[in-house]
Amino acid sequence: MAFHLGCLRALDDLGVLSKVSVLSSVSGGSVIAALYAYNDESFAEFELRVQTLLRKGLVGGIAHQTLFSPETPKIVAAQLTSGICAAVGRLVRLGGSALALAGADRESIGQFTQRFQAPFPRFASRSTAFERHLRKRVFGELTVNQVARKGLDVVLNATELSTGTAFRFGSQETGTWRYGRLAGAPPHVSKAVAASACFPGLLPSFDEFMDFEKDGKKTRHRVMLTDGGIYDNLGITCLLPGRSAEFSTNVSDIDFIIACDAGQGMPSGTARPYLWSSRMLMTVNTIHRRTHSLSYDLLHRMKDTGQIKGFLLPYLGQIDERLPYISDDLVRRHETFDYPTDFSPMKEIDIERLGLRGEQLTKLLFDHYQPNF
Amino acid sequence: MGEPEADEKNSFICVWLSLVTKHYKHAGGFAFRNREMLRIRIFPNFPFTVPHLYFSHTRFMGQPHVQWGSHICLYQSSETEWQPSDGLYGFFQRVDEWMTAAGKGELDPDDAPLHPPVAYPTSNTRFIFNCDAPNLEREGAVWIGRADLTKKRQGRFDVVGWVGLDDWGSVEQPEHVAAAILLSRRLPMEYPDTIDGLRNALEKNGVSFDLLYALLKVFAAKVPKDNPIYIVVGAPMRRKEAGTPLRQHLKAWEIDAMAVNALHDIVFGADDKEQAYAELAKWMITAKTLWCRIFENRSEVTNRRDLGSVLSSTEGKRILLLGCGALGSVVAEHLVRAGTKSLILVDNGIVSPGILLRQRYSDRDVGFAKSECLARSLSEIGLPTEIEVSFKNLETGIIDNFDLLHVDLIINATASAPVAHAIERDLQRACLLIPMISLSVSAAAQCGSVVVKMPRFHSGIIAIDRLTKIGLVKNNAHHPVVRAFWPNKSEVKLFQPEPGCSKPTFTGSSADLAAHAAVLLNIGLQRISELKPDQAETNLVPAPWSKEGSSGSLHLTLDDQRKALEQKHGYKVLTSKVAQRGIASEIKRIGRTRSDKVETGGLIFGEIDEAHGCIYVDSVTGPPSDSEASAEKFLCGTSGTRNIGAAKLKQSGRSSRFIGIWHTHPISLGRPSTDDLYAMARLLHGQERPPRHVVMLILGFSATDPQPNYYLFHRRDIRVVTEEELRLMLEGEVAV
Repeated sequence: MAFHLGCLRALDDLGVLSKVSVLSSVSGGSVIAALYAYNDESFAEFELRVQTLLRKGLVGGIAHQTLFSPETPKIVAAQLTSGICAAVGRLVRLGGSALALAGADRESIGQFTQRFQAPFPRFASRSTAFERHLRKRVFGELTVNQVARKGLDVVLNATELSTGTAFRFGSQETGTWRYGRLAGAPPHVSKAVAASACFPGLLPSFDEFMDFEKDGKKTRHRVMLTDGGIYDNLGITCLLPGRSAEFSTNVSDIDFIIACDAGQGMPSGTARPYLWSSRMLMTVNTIHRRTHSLSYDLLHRMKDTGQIKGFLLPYLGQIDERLPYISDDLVRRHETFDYPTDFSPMKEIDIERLGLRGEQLTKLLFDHYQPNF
Repeated sequence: MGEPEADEKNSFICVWLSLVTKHYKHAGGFAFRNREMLRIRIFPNFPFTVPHLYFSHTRFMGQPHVQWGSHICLYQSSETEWQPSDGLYGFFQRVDEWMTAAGKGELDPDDAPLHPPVAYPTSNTRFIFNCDAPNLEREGAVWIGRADLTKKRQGRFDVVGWVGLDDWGSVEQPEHVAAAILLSRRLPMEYPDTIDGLRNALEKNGVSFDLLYALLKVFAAKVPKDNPIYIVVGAPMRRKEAGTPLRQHLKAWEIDAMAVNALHDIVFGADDKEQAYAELAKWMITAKTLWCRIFENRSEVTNRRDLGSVLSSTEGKRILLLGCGALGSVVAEHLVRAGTKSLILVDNGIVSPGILLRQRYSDRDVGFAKSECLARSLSEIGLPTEIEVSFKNLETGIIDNFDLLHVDLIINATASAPVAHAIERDLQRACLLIPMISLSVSAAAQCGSVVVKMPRFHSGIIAIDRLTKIGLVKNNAHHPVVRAFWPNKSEVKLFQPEPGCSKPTFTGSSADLAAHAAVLLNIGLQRISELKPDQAETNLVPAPWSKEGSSGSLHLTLDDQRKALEQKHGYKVLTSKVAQRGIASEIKRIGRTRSDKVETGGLIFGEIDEAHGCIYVDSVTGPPSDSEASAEKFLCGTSGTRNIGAAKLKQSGRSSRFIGIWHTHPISLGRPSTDDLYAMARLLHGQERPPRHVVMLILGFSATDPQPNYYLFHRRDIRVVTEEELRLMLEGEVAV
């Protein structure tokens, strides 16, 4: 968020921020995106609000809402009902697997145990507490369609885990291509931000039934929403030109993409994934990094084929030596490592360095690539 | 269907077909018998030749799509409509469709373009109709007049004008004329093949025998004996597209010399007048009509074959073409063929034998001016472009040499740096409110370049070329197209056709150049239709056959730069958008982080072009980290600036370098203070390798309404003096 704040500050200084037509965000970026989009305060006021939030962090608020709020009994109830049922279901499935290993008909067993797989939604969790905190302390009762900045569309990207698709909370529409548009009242900004930012390693997914509308038909589906970065960590898939509104949601017509990426870049190579857990974690990280770099390739390809006029990619993990030039006051890459990414309170120095690097990189890229708008 | 009969003489099989027509018959259509006998001719190479179909009678002669009395015209274009793989099934399907349409009388639906009537050529004379026929004002009217002709060669006349009877005396009569009879009612689909038939047809349409006879006599009297005369006969039987009014279908009727001689004898009172009358009467009753072969070229009934093409945008335009060399001579031909209204060819070169292998000149042109030779060959194309030639030296510019008020487009095909500089000089003193295209090729013609300058883009080719280089080199330094146009110095090899005594040029064949000229011209014209009036664009296009071909083309669109005037020497200052944005963002940053009353500044990168008196400001930086900024002054630091300068120089292909410093005066005028002048003195005299000149930009009133003020300091503008000299100066003893 701090890096993104710096990027936005540079865009504001350059007179570009007010010209942005679509703001698409994932994960923690959705917090700052929503803070900007759903309030028409001056940039200075916005910056102050973000810095306050960064200093304070969100972890305390989430913990408070989890342990000492009306959400607490709900979470306990959810654990006692859907949680226990899910655990029982898991045992049944394990039993089924054992039987299958013993020679029973695998297909019949599979069909039988399928019914016991997490049969009831987890209607309350730390994620709903996160949402409650955002609603009570940050966004209030605002809904995703109530964008305060004129001419700006917002897309807060989440991932729908049961179908493995993008679930987009948009100021124009919300939904996923598998099920269609969300029917009924637009969701709250707090819900969209929490869903987009609930990193599955730390927070459970939002698990609930939702009503959709597709091709004139209304349907009801159970959805499991988690961090949008799982599906697309750059948040650009909803901006790709040539998408059809028939198959996708939040289709927009854009010709230039500024993708602010707070990833820390290349691993140092010091990790030793020896045990199963570290191996699996490294595997996930590797796949994630690979899909991330494919997103960069996609941006280059779209530019080369003329689908977009160009793009800028201020990237926290940018190797400094590959920049067009280095000014002596540039906040170097290694100075911005080891800051918390779990919504813990941030130190002033981290906020300042990350923000300044974002601002410097954005301005430097503008100066070098000279986008024509 | 009858048994096939082989016609061995003509090598086809004939099949008779008896067709029940009750399903085809409708009111208003062909009056079919209950059964129609049709004859099909199938040729040996069927299905690759379409079978012919005939009625067994000539009752439908004159009906649409029935020719030579009985031949059924099934296809408008058998080349595209006939599918050999469909065989006889496809053929009979077409017969069914034709019979259905004929039965309903819909072979030529209302408002659709008509199948033109036919008059089978029986004369060897050819007529080309170049100008639209007069319109007949009312139904039943007949237009009698003359068609003015140009005799291009023996047996070929071009119709170049029409003169009605009323204007006969007032319009000068050319050497060759034809009588013209234009009707307002249709003639049969097959024009009569006898004089008698034609006379009858004309009479039915309001042209009495007396009128025809008088016309014959008048025109026979205009030609010497033993020469034919011609009558253009027209009837409203053509249409260009659906919904448009009917236009005249024109044919030229040749009156043979024998009849003309008889008319001569009658008109000029020959001794044996009776004999003349007898011969004329016999001719009228028994002779066949001689129909000339017609070539239509009237815009009212023909479509241009370049319809909708990019090049067609030059139709009717007035174009100034600079350079008639390898690219210019090809471009000129394209423009003439596209229907350019007027073309001024400018080149002061002469044709030498060496250029024949790639330029559009021939041996007879050697030693003559290129522009004149090109004009001659272009006029031989025979299209109506007005061509003017000029032998002027373009190195003196174009504004003073040409009347640009009557020019719609300038195409610079000189590929000459002195000419580009001359145009740049022109643009320093005047706006050129005409789009300009500039074409060139790389050293081995492996890549082409087209620069488009729109009317309100203030700079010329030199500046656009510079900005293109900066824009493309920094991100595509190793792109083959970039390397072709901006090679490393070590890679440059000059080619002189006559080593030692001729101007260096590029290498490339006539095919290379023709292809480049066509592609670049099309791209340039297309961009003109797309760009905004204050933009410019460069397209670099590799030849598909060259090794650079697979690398793809590059293009860069440029917005006009902010123009200002430097205050000490009157240089023109062009500031890029990115530099403007950089300055504005730094002013905003200092206001945000400290106060809008605090001065700030940084470095300026660009180029000072003393030849054209122009300063290009490409980019700026914010203050180096060791700068001192306060509300009273800004002292620009130097920390890290060497690196940035070196990077900018390299990334721009050495076209953009450190040229000066900028800073703000938040609440005062943008005039240099003593501190500013001291800083300039230090820059110009206080370094080991000082620059020749430095630009200082001061933004006055930057806190409220920033006003840029540029000052150029040459090293000679600042003198370093000793304290003693200074004292003497102040006392007036030494000249300042």
